[in-house]
Amino acid sequence: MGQETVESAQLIILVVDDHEAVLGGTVSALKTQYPEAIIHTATTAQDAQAQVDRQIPNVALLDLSIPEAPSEQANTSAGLQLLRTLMQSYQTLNIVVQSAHVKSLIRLKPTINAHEGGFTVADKSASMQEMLTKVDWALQGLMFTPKEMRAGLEVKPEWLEVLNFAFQEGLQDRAIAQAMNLSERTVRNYWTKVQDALGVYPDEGINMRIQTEIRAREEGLID
Amino acid sequence: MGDISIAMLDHHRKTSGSEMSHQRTAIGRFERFWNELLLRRRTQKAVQWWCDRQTLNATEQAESIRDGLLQEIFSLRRSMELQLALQPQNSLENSHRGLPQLEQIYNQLKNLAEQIAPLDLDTNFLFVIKQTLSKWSDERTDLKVSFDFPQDWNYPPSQNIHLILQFLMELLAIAVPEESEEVLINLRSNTHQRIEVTVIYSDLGLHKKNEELVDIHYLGQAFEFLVPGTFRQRAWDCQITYSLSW
Repeated sequence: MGQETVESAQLIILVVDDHEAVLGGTVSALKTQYPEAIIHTATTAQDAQAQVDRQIPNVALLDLSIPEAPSEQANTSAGLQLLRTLMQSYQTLNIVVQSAHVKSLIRLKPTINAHEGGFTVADKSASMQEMLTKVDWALQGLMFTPKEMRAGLEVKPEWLEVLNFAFQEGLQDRAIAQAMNLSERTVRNYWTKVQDALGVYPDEGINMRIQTEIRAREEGLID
Repeated sequence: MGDISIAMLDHHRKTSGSEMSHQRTAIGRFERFWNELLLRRRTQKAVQWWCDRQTLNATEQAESIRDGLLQEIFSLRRSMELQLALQPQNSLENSHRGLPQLEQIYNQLKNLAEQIAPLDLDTNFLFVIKQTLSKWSDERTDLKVSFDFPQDWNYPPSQNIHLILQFLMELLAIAVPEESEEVLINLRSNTHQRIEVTVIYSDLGLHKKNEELVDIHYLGQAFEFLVPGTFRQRAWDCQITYSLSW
């Protein structure tokens, strides 16, 4: 898969997991793709929050089942609360959820939908290459949620507006932003949301915008 | 006049007597109905309690798989992927390094399967119950545990033998807290098959507290309804003997 990966120089990556062996494996895997990156680790929700408050990473990889504090038991509530807090406090933070509990993310659907940074999900059953692809997508600001999280096609009115401006009126992102009185960044974020809803992701030889138009017409979102 | 009065009194007595008899019958019927209703309600609560406990146990088992086994498999896989990516020329040596971890994961899965549904329980009850209780005893290093089992057990397996074992393990989980001193587990048979668990508590306060546990009460009722069997509890000094018969 893949477009060119994001440059690794000066990248700061935070990996959050309470299993040492998992942390070690993930850090080593990340170093194969981002050899120059500075990789920090955290084993509790409190430590992860403190690290992000100290220095916002380019991307944070989070397990959902972690303890709130040292010597506490791991639980998904602590992981979900950390994720919620990070998304609300750092709206442009790029996040990868790497977990065996990805189904729990359904509880945060509205927060995930409103998030402006990249957001991807890598189940722990995924291969190393799939995980690295998801990290790269998150760094590009893209969105990927598992199919189970998407019950039917849910497209917000503002995303539809972007599609109409782009494919009915032929506007580029800057012009769309002006027409909708939004920032370009927000328009790009809406693109990633609607592409995730339509199941359009980067792949060899794929033109994302054209593929989005094809899928949008198939779903009847545009004429 | 006197005869009429006597006749009237007699009639009144007979009528009153008959009414009272009706009333007694109606009260008796109401009492029976009320008692049946109470018994049904108590049984319902006990069965609900049992279902809640099993759901909790299943949730804990599932979490232990997600937080334990799955994480180990993830680490093993990443380790092998990294070795393949970074040192493909050493693939044979790298495969060997993963074998001990694979064996560990295999054993964990095997134990988990035994925990969920012990193999051969209905054909070899005595052996399985000894194994299960030995394992429980090994985990309770704080406790002195002794067993009194017969040499043979030649009874046809109960339809609900798995359920009986579940009840026994739940009883041990509830009735043997950390402050207990000693546990003696007997397996008996005469007209019925019976397991007796005698718990010796370290002080009277704990003994009293355990004697009145609501959970034991629900467990007993659920056992009697679901197995079906008989559950008894005898307390004296600092000991309580729990008896499950079927």
